[in-house]
Amino acid sequence: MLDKFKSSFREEAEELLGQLESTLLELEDSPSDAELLNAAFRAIHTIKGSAGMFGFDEIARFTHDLENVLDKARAGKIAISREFIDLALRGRDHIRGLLSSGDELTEDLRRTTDALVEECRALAAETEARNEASPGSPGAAAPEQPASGAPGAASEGKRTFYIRFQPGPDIFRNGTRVLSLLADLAELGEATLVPHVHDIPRLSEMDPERCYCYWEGYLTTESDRNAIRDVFIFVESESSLTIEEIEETRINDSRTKRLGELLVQYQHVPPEEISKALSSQKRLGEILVEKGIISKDALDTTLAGQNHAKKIQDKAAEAGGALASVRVASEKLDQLVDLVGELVTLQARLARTSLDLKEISLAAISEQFERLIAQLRDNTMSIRMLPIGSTFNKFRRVVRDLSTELGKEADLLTEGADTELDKTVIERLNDPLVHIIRNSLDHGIESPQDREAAGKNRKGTILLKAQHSGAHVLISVRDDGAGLNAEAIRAKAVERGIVAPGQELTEAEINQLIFHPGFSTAKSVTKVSGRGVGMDVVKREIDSLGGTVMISTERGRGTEMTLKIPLTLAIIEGLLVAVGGEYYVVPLSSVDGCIEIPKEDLRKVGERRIIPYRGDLLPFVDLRSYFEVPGETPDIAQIVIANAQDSRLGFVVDNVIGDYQTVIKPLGRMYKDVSGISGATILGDGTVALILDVNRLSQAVQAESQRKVQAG
Amino acid sequence: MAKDPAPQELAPVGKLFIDTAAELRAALTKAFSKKGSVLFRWDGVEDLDVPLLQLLYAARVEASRTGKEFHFTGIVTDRVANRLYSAGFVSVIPLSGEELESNLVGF
Repeated sequence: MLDKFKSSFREEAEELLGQLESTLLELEDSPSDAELLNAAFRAIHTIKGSAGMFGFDEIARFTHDLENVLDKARAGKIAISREFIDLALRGRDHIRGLLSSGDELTEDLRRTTDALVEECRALAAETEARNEASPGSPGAAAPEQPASGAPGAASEGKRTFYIRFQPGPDIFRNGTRVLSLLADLAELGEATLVPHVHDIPRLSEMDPERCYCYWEGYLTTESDRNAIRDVFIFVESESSLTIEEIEETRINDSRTKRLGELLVQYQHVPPEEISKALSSQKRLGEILVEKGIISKDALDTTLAGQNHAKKIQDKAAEAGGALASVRVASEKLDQLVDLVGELVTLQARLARTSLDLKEISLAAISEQFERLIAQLRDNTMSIRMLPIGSTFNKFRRVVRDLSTELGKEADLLTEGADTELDKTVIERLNDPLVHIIRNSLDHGIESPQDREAAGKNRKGTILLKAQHSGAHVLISVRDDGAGLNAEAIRAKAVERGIVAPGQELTEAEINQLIFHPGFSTAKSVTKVSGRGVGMDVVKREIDSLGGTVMISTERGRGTEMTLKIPLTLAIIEGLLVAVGGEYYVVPLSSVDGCIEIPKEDLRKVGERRIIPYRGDLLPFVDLRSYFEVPGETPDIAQIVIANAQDSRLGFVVDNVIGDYQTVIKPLGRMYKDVSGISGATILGDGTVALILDVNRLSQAVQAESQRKVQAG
Repeated sequence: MAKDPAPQELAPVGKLFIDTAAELRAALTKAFSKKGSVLFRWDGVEDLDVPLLQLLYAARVEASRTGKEFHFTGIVTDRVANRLYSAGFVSVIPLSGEELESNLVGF
């Protein structure tokens, strides 16, 4: 059971650390934004709390000091400098390291913890010393929390305030009706007030027109502090009024912590007194009040805070129809997709059987089943769709750290962060995008001096953009750097023997050379790039995703690399075709059209085999001969026209069967090198159909014709 | 067997703000000076403010000190119940005097 909680903690912490990184980077750009600082603090505070609870002691130990630094920054005692952000980011990285180390803590990690803790303490001490010397130093200060109160609770778009209202003794004599004021206050939102009545004297001694009560409590509201103050506007001069906003961390504490923990946390009671009191059979609060350890007022207010938090939480749950989302392990989602895939295959079999049996009632069931399966498939696939923005955030850090390392200045801008893609595709896009962005910074963006000399802004820009395009997503990385140097690329390709001297190449072909294994124009190999491995990896990974990479560049103006990626890798719409006794699937997103032409019209122009299509002449692949399927092409050939990376081509088949929901199954290791096939699927009758890799087939056709031209 | 004295019942009527506080205090003091328990009837209370509540808290202390019974009775109007709820004197909206007595904070 504990393992399950630990695993949940790791997941949650990873998510928080992801958010923390982007928050810190934003904070660096907007150091006076107190909300960002509060968000960073909350992330560390939550990790610290959960780490301690689940036995991640080293994380708890380290986050304590990091939290302390962030807290001092919130109080305006530490300025938000680059040094501060650096330390916080390194701290965040270290927590990730500790998380992934599991239960085995290496000596290295422990040393890193010690070193970072020292740095945190030194930063805190140093800035405090500076502040003492010059009070009122800058920083994104947050208001101090009320010292005595327990926290309230917030819900979305609302804030919680601690309020203490002590009317002046003669307030009634002025005609003020206090209950009416408090009713007005409650109108502003959800209020939990505690009247303190213990100062009311005996009947015989009291002045019935004098006020002896005061109130403390919490208000969760969409209104601001001024609106609250307005309630008391006519009595403020004769009363004592405190209105303080409550931190969300305190709200969470109030929901989750026990009374004893809260009283210790807010320094009402020392921990040892709590332990002593707990050993008694009475209620903790009563014992502490009886012993005079806390006042009845402090106890009542703390309890009111707990009640208020619960009340707000219940209201939010009511409004939102209980939980808005549920965390599910990704393996479970993968299993669900696999099962849906099996159902799709089974449905195809049912359809086939009902057709063979010519049984009307079975056919009706099969059709209904097919509609339901299609809905189930779409719903299941949509569950796996995630916004790509989570990946985008990671790249801000890459740009920040790398530009510093290279002595360059660059901003990363993003667009379309909410564009959704299958989670497995997103995971596999990370490395290619890192390589492209690193390359943009290393080779594209010029040094600040060079940029100024070229009349550009000192600071370069990299724009990372995502958008949907049919069954694909287009992800582009555009920089405003120097652009690709076609002459240098060509010269290097000749030097490396990748192209022959004097060989004619189009601009697009020259640009594609940078994806060749081992290609690099960098004069020296740096830690960042220059080994020519990055762009090769990009091409390979994008190919394996069934995607394409396009480059457009302008000398002196910049380069744009666009990745065209299929939305999902699990189930696709395909066009099922047959050649002899074999079946193939062409991804429907690539299909441009289908035509029939007499066999004798499949012409050869020189060494190139071409077909006429809508006024163009297109190359084609005869799948029978390519895959060595026995038999003859029928007299009337069926041709499927497909869009490849930057061209179109035809596939000659015997028969076009129709569209087909294709559950993609990976090929075994034996078939991993078979060119032109990206996967397989199982048809309704159990037959295996191969899924065509249109881009690879197009490349193979081009390479083959080039070889023949060169040989001829 | 001696018969229990009849309870002293206070049944104020109307809006009980500061202007009625002195009069109520006198009435309560008088009721506590007599024999028998003291009952406060809520039916006629149309509205209230803190002075009345302070008097009731003080009366409760008086009752504890003298060993007298002091209780609420009658129907609590919606307006009064809501006023008490929004000011934090009760955590549930009371319908009757008895219910109010058992829920009034610190009473």
